[in-house]
Amino acid sequence: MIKAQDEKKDTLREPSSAKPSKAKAAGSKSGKNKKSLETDCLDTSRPFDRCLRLSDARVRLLGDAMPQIVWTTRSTGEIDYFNQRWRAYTGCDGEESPEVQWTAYVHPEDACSYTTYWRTVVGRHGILETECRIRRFDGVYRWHLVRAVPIRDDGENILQWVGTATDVNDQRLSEDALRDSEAKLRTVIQSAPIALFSFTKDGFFTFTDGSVLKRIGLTPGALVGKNVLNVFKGYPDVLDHVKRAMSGESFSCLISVANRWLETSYTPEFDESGNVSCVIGTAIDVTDRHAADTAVRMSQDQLELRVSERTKELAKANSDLEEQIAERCRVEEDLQRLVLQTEQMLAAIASILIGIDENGMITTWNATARRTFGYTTQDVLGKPLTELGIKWDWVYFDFSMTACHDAGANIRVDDVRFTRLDGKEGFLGLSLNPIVGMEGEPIGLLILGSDVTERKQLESQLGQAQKLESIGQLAAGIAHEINTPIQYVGDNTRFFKDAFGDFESLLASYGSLLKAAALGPVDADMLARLQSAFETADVEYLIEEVPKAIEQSLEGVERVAHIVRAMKDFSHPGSSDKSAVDLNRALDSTLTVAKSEWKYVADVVTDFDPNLPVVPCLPGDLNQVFLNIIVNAAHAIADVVGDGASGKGTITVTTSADDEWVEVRISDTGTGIPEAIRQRIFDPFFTTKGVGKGTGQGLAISHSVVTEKHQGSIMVESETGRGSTFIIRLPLNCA
Amino acid sequence: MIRILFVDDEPNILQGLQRMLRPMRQEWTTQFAEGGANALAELAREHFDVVVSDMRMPGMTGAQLLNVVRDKYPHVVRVILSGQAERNQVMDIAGSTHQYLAKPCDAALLKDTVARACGLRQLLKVPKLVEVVSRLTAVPCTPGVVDLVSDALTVGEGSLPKAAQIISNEMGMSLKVLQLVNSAFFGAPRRVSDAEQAATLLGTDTLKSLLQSDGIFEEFDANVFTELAIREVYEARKRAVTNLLTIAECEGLSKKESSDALSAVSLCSIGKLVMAHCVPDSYRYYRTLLGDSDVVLDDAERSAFGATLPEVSAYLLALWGVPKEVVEYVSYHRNPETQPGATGLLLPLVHAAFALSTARDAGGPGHMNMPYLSSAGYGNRTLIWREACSEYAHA
Repeated sequence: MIKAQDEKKDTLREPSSAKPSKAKAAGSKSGKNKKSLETDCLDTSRPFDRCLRLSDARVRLLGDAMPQIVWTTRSTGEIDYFNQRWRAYTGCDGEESPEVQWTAYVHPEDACSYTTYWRTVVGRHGILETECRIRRFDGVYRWHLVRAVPIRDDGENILQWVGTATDVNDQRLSEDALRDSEAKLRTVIQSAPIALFSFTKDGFFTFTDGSVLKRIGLTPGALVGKNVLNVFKGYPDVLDHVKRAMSGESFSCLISVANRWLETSYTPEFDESGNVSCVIGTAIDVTDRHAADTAVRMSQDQLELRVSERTKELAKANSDLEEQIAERCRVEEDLQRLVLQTEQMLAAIASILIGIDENGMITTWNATARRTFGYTTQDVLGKPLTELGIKWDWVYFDFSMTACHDAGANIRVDDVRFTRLDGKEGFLGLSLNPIVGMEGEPIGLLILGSDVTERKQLESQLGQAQKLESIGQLAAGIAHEINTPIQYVGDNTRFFKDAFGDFESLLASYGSLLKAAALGPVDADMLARLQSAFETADVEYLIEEVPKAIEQSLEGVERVAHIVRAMKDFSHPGSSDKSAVDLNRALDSTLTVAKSEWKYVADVVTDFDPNLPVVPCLPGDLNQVFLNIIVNAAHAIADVVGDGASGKGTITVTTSADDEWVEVRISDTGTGIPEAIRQRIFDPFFTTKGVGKGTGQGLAISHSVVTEKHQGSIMVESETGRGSTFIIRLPLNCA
Repeated sequence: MIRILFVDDEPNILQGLQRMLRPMRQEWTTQFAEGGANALAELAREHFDVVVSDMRMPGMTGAQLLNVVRDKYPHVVRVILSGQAERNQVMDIAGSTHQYLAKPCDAALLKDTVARACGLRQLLKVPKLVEVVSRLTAVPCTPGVVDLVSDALTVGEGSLPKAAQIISNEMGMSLKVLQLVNSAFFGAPRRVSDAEQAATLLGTDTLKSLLQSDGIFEEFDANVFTELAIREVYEARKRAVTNLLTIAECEGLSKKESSDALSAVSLCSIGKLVMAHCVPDSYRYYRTLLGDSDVVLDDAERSAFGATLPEVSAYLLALWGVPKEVVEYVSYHRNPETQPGATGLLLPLVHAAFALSTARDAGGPGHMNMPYLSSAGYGNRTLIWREACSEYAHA
């Protein structure tokens, strides 16, 4: 983007007379020119004879085809033609007369000498070759090689000049730079305390330069041709070094020559067969530094003491540092291991991974996708996902994909129905993740997912297991609740049987009396027998007791009927459709079936809203929720009151409604839920009860039933030591 | 007059029981208490022979009440009448309860059970012994046998038949499993007299729970076991059992037909174990009395304990709800001619099996009551029995 702007700026800098596209073309061509320069020049210059015979028009045609600037002049030197390249290069519009104007494009510094030179050449009739600066369309002067050759007639008279101008600016600049740097280098060598030298394998100097040579009493130029072994024969150390270098060793050393300390280095060069051909060396005068070094060494001795002290500290710091480094190394190793692990984990992930591009074409298809859908990676890559024939709920999938696209964020798509390879129905849990480009624009979709059929089955089995668990738990209690009235109804009935027998024999006595009375006066003996029968039957007791027994029996039968009705209400076998439910009745049923759970530890107070509207819900599931909470409440109270000997707790159940919601509150006076675990009570498998005392699923399932199946809410308010209140809110209008 | 206390937290139950038991008012005095606290007040105020209590009651459970009763009024027969079906709670009372009835309980069964409990007084008339026996929660077994049963049930895949076999060889364990199966402790009561069958009916899980519960299966102290030569009791029992099996075979009786008799023979000596365990000093004295070759067993036992050992055994068996035919055989096996009405037809066989098992009888004329056996129609069978039994003993 920055480049683009720069280009624009360039364009703006072009002269207003030139069309941008044209200028640009010219500019880009000038870049190419450099390479073709030489060959082009040769091509036009070499077949001289033929050129001679070219007509003026053909020259011009040829000229226009040339990548260089081409021009012709009359024999006298007045320009009569410039090719297109000239116009393109200089940016002149061609309206003006080139003959008049061309000097305007030559650098003022060059123009004068050039004009003079040109006149000289034209006068001498030779070949012109010179360099001058020509102004480009953008106002920059660039060096050109200008060549002009005369065209002659048979009589060797010059008819015309044909000239070319080739951009040699870059060449010239680099030549200048080279010359410049050579000059600088020489200056450096001569001014710096350094000497450069080379000698052959036999020791004859081939090159010497540098001011240091003078400092040791030698003349730079005079050494060439002399032998190093002779020059330094008074310095055994030097000779020794020279021999080492000659034998092929490359090294540096410090040496004293003529009271100067020289840092000398030798670099042997080798021929093709690996023998030393010559040695190149440098010598740097370090006398001053050496003196300084000595002074420093003096003070170093003093410092050493302090240093040794510091060294100890440093040693410690160092060991600390080493430890830190080792620690960092370990961390780094850990990190690497982690990276490796992560890679392997990713490779081992057993999820379906499908990537599609913005056109819906598959770009990624992993092994799990292959196993799940049966298509190999080769089969599907580059094909549209929609045409594979995957049998899943496309309506749901498309809807989700659109939602993902719109949201621009990843979306979880649970429970997508699909047909598995074995032909059975299954479920996929998918997550759709948009892939975005640099600008945030969607460029594809990553589908991650797995076959959750087994998990769904387990979930449903778990729900069933929890239901069975609570029903099993209740069964013993319900049996007790039913057995009690059955016991006394049975006993009373047995009593009725006995009592009826007593009445029967008494009535028989009365019958005899009646019969006897009809025949005449009744004797005292008969009356006495009746009196005895009356006493035996204990009629007074029976008269008093039978109605009570009837009353209690009816009540007992009603109790059993109530429990049986409640059980029927409660169990509501697996209806998966919502129906309108009277929650007051549902709560009453649940309290009834759970009675044996609470009746020894708590009294139940109900405050039901008599005008509570019916709520669309799954009664079986909801009863399960109420049961879980009531049983928990009873347990919480039992933890406080023990066996109930010293008074019971209270479970309060209230219902209420507003326009949109029905609220059920179930409060207990139990232990309360400690703050620390209040957040976790709805978590699956969280339980405070002992092993074997519940799956830890009760409240988790309750939560899922209320929030997911009914779009309601379930909350708990609790105070440790005072009790808890569960608040369930269900929407009156839910799907 | 027998005095019975009924306890329940449900007044309707008490009133129903009262009405239902009204026909018995001539024989029984019934009292009714709402809840455990009231029951204890009644017990403190008056003497009772039987307590029938509900199990689950607020304040004090039936198990707690009966434990107090066991400690303070050990002579009282303890019966549970409960609608509860929870295994754990049943386990709690399996020790302290003599009999268990389930609600709803058939009026006849309730009356029969209470009647039998009341009739116990006829079996053992020494109050001191009644207390000792009624207080028992378990009759001790051979040291180490609890682990043997436990191992049999748990090692490898566990073998219920093997465990049942071991249990059937132990009088204490046999009696306990028979008590549990013949009462409604675990499901409907079943009339079972074969301990091996009873153990099998309880099943592995229940047996394991029982093994882990306190006071259900107990063992003798190893020193006491040796000092009092309890092993001899087991050996005598084994001889008697073998004799009965031999005689039953001679008479062509099936295992099922001879089951009650076998059970009686197996459990008959349990009184000895009870005495050795509960009144060891008396038991030592009893053993010295047996040293006299002329001693009459009944006399020796009455002298040492105040009652005969068959009386003690029979009382315990009846108290724990063992089928009444078995109790009858145990009661009268030594003096069969004293049996009032013959309900158990195999008493002669039981008598013979014991008579032939005592050392003195092995070779000599023995103590078989020939007139009784003759009158029972087995007069010509005794020789065959004696031969068969001695053959077996020598083999």
